[in-house]
Amino acid sequence: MNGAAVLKAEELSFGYRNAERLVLDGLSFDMGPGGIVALVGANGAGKTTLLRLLSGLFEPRSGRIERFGKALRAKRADFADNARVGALVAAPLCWRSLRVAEWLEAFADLSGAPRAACAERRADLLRRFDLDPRARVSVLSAGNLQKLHVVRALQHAPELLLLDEPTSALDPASRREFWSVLREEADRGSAVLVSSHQLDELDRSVSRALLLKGGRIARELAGDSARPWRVVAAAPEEEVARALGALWNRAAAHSGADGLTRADWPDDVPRNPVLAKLVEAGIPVAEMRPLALSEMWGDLL
Amino acid sequence: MKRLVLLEWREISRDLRSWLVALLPVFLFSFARTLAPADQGSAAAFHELVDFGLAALALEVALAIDCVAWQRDRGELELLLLLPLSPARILGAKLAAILVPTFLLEAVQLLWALLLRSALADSVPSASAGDVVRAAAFLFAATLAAAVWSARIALSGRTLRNASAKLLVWTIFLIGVAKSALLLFPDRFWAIVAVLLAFSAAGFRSLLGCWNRPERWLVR
Repeated sequence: MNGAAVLKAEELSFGYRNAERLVLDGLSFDMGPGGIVALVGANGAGKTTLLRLLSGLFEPRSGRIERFGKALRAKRADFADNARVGALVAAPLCWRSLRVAEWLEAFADLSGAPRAACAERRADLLRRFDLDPRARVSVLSAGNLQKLHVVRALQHAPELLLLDEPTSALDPASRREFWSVLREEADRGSAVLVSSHQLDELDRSVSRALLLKGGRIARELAGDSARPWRVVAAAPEEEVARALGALWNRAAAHSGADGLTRADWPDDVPRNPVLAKLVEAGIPVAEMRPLALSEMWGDLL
Repeated sequence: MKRLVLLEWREISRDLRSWLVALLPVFLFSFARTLAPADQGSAAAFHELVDFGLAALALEVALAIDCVAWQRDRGELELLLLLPLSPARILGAKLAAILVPTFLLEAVQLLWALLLRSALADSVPSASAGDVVRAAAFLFAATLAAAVWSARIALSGRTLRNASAKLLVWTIFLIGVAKSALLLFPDRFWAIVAVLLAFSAAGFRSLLGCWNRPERWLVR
């Protein structure tokens, strides 16, 4: 366990009423401050359910959740700690008659956030997401509604961010801005847990990724260093095999229709000897890089 | 808390149906009172006030709680649960937003009834101040009980239509029982009011229990 864990889940189990199977079954993980952790999984894998449990909306059937070193007790008794959390786990709209700025201000005030600091952050976020503060919330498009909820979750400078598919309705420019904001939040020391199906976006920003499958964390990946590497060589598979000899792992390699051979290497295998042998054999190396998240987990999703 | 009550009230008051249904009993009362004979005594005046008040509040409570059912079905309640406020405070604000206007409208209806009575029946004994206080106390207790239990039913209903139908039937049933008890035991007036208030407290406790387990009512 991480001693300074901001969020910790232990053996969490949860199933919906009248459902045959558990959505989460003995799931455990923890996360400390100052990082972006991605939650990845197929539809129905339990990402949203997990985020709702961690937000305190749902109560686990068994297991334990700790936020800021305190148990998230049954019956939502730790509601005061919600002020330290920014959660985007649902995007419904209440108080529909309000304008964007009023709506956000109401949430900030009810969160007990310092007014001046919060107003400054809100103004900055509204500008960055190009959201009109005078627009009525009831007429916002799906994308703008999502931006509204992103600003709501971020405006009070939370220590923990729980975000469920926060970019699903955003345009490309807003997505870039979102990830930029999120990296700033992580740099500020916030712990960020974000679920998404946009693996390429996650790949560029997250410090750790969790693959949710079968109700638990099936795979975990921390940073570039732990990733397998891929070498792309401009030669047939047999030729590459001859050059690499004992290093060659045929099971992890395949030749494509483009005539290139791709081979994946576990992180613990030194990369330099692979490169040296290929160069020595006169085989052009087109590319050598860590695997992308989509290449590693795409099939599992 | 005040901010939350005002925000909730702003939402509820935007629903024009609330105003239409709240005003309807006033007109009904005016019409009925014009037709009714004016030679009634003080006790009859009391029951008259209560009867028309109850008809009004049955509709008002059902309608106001219907707003909560709508909010639940649209997922709006979930958003409020993310706030660092106790569930009791959030729930209290919602109930206050529903009940305060209802009580105000009840007061308007009582005043209207008294005005009409004095205008139409100058020659007969009008309702005494005690009758009005008793009528107001009974209406307050019955409204509270109906609202709290209706909100409980609205939250636990599996679908909006189901919840709305249930809570309307429940409100009318509860008010009918309360009025029957009043007719059967007129000398136990304050005991009946106390039972209604205790019933409200039990309802609030149950409502809080339901509210505290949102997975029971958020997930359909």
